Amino acid sequence: MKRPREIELMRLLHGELPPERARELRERLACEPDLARAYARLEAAWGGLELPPPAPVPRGFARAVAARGAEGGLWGVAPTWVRAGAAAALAAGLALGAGLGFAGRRWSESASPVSAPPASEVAQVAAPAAARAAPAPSPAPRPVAPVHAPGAVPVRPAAPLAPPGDLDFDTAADEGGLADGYWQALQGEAADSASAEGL
Amino acid sequence: MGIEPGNAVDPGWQALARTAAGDAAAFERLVEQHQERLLRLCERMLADVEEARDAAQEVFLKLYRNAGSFRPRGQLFTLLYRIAVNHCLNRLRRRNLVRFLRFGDPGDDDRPPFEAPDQRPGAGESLVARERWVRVRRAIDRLPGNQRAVLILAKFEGLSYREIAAVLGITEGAVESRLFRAMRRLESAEDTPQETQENERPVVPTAKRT
Repeated sequence: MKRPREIELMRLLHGELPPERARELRERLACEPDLARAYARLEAAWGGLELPPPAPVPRGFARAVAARGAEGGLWGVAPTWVRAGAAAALAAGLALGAGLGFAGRRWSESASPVSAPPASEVAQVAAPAAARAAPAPSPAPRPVAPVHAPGAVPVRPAAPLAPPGDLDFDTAADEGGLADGYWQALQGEAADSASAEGL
Repeated sequence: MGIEPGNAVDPGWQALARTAAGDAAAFERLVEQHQERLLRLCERMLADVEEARDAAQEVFLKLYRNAGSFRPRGQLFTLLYRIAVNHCLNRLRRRNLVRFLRFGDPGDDDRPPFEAPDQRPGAGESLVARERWVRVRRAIDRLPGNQRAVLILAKFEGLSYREIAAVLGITEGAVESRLFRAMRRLESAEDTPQETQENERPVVPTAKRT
């Protein structure tokens, strides 16, 4: 069956056709068996759509709904757009707070004085400077105070001196105290050899 | 049974205005006035009595929360129907999504296909009628949401095309087209053997007959 014809039959069945058009179609139905069969089939399908009667309304339904609406208070009667706006404002506030916190932390890191370098770096920088500053003919190694940046971690006291050959350079690089001792030992050895050679 | 859309202001709008002003009793009367139709519509749409009660309650609460923001136009019941249909369609979408995520057959369901409550008149008296109800219910459940809504509003709520168009916010031509497609699907389902019907997925469109 063609769609327009079936739609027209459906409109006739539902009483949606204008009276004039409905009368014409009914006359055609009387003359055209195919059309009449199609209409009968549609009518049967429509009439066959039956469902059981709906369940009765539960007792106190209206009162329960009204009570539930009232118990929400102002928030309960707030329109959806107000709720959405409040949720968006909360989310924006949280995002802003997190962003400000992060930016503030970065700013404080960048604005603070030179951050304290690791102790090993301090020792490595400090030891040659001390070696240059110390008088060469000094016979005995003198403790040299490393130069600290303000707030830097102080270098722990030098470890007991060991022969330079026994020093492990890798370890010395990692441990500021050993490096310090190494430079001091070198300095003392140089002084000893200089005095031995009569320089 | 149908709605009479027009420019005449429904007294229900006045009750809604009083509700917006904080008159809880006016809202309760409004619910009492419309609860039967709304529960029936939700039950037809969702095919589940308990879910229909929840849905109807949520529809009334939506009306309550937004009472001050609606513009009086035509009958209040048009607005209520519209909220209810949209709410039920959302619930059906969620139900289908849950079934999909459970990797279940969309045609399967944990609950029985359709159980008519015992207190209903005629229930249990005729096994044939009961079987027919189950068959019709299954066929309607297999329809896409928009076709289901149009069919239920036309067949079981007795609304005209114009009223359905007003409720759904579509044109009368769209109502006609959806109703036509729904009827074709239902006829195809009637012609399909019962065993095949039970195994087929509702999301797969049935073959159109010429």
